[in-house]
Amino acid sequence: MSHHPSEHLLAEFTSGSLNTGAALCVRTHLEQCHDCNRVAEDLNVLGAVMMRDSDQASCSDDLFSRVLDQLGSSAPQAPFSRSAGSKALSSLIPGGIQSVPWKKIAGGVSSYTLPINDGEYSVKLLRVEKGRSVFQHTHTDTELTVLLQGGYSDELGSYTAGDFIECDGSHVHKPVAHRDQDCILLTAVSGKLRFTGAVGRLLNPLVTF
Amino acid sequence: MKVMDMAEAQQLAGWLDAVAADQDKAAFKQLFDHYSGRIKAFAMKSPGVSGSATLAEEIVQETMIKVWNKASLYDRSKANVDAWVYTIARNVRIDIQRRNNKHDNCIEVDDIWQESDEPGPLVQLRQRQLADNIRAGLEQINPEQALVLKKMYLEGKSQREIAEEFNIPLGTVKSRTRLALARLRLLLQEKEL
Repeated sequence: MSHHPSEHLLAEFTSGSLNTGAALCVRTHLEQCHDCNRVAEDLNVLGAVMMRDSDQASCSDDLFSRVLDQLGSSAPQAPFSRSAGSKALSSLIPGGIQSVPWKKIAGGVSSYTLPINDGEYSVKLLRVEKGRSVFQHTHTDTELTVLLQGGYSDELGSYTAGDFIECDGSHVHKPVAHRDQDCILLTAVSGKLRFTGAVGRLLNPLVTF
Repeated sequence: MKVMDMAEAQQLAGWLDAVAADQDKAAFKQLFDHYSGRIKAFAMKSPGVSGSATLAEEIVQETMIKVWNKASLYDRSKANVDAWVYTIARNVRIDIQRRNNKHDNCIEVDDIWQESDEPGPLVQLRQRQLADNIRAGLEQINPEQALVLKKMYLEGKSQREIAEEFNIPLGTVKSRTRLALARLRLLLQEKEL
C-alpha cells in the first residue's frame, strides 16, 4: 500500500466535518493502514485539546439527575457486540463482496450503488474485469477511491489493494485493471464525472456512474 | 498556557475505571462535572444546534450516557480520557446533524467514526505529551489558519461551509488547513528532537 489520504482529509474526517460517503472511504482505508490510523489518533488529540481549552457553558442544575434517570438501575453494558476490526463496509453489504448484485454499465465494468444519502457524495462499488478499463474521464469536483481487491493503473500511477486515491478536476485518467484478477473499488464522487475520450464523450449524457 | 498535568489525567482515568468496575455514581458525577460544561459549549457551536441550549444539553446527556455505557470499553493504553470523550461527543454531534439534515443513511455513525482499535503501549503517555505540544503549537500558528481548524473541530463545519462563512474561495480554506497542519506537525517534530 503506497497511496494514502492527505492529512488534510484525515483532519476533516476526525473533526466530523466530512460527509458520510467520503468518511466511509477514509474509514475503509484506516481499517487497513496502521500509519494513517496513528495520524488520525493524533488528530483526535487535536480535537480533544480544542474541546478542553474552549469556553465552558453552564448546564441546567438538574441535568445530572436527568442523566442518572436515564441510566436507570442497570449496570453499564457489557462491551458492545461490534467486534474489534469489523469493517464499516460490511454493515452495508452483510453478505460480503460475493453477494453484491452488480449492474453492468459498460464493457467489463459493473457497479453497485450503496444506500448512502449524505446530500453530497454518490457512493458506489465498481468492478472492472481483469485487463479491462473505465473510459477516460475527469471530475467536476472530487472522486475518492479505495481499492478493495486487485489493482489498476492509470496515467498517474499504479495502485493495489488498500490504496486511497483522491482525484479532482485537474486529473484526467483512464484506469485499467491489472491482468491478474478483477479489480473492485469503493468510490465516492461529488459533482459529476466527465468522459473525455472520443467514445466516452458520447456517453456523457447517458451514463451516470 | 494550560498544561494538563499528569495527576489530572490519572484522576480522570481512575474515575472512568471506577465507573466501569463498580458502576460508581460518585466517580461518574466527577466526570460529569469535568466534562458537561465543555461538551455543552462544544455542542452549542455546531451548526445543527444553532445556539439552542436545550439541544446542546441533549448532546451532553447523550454523550455522558455513552460514557457510562462504554466505560468498560475504555482502555487507558489506547487513548487518554480527553481524546476518548472527544470522539464520543463528536459522534453524537454527527448523529444530531444527520437527523437535522434528514439524511437517510443505512450506516451508523459509530460504524464509520468508531473509536480506535489499534493497540498501542505508551499511547497514554505519548498522547499527553502530544496534547501539551499541540496546545503550545496552536498558540504559535497563524491565527487565520488556527481559526480554520477551530471551525472544523469545534463547530464541525465542512470546508465549503467555512468558505461561505468568510466569503473566501474554497481553495483558500483548503490551503489554510494544509498549512496549519504542516506547521503544527513541524512544531511537534521540533519538540520531539
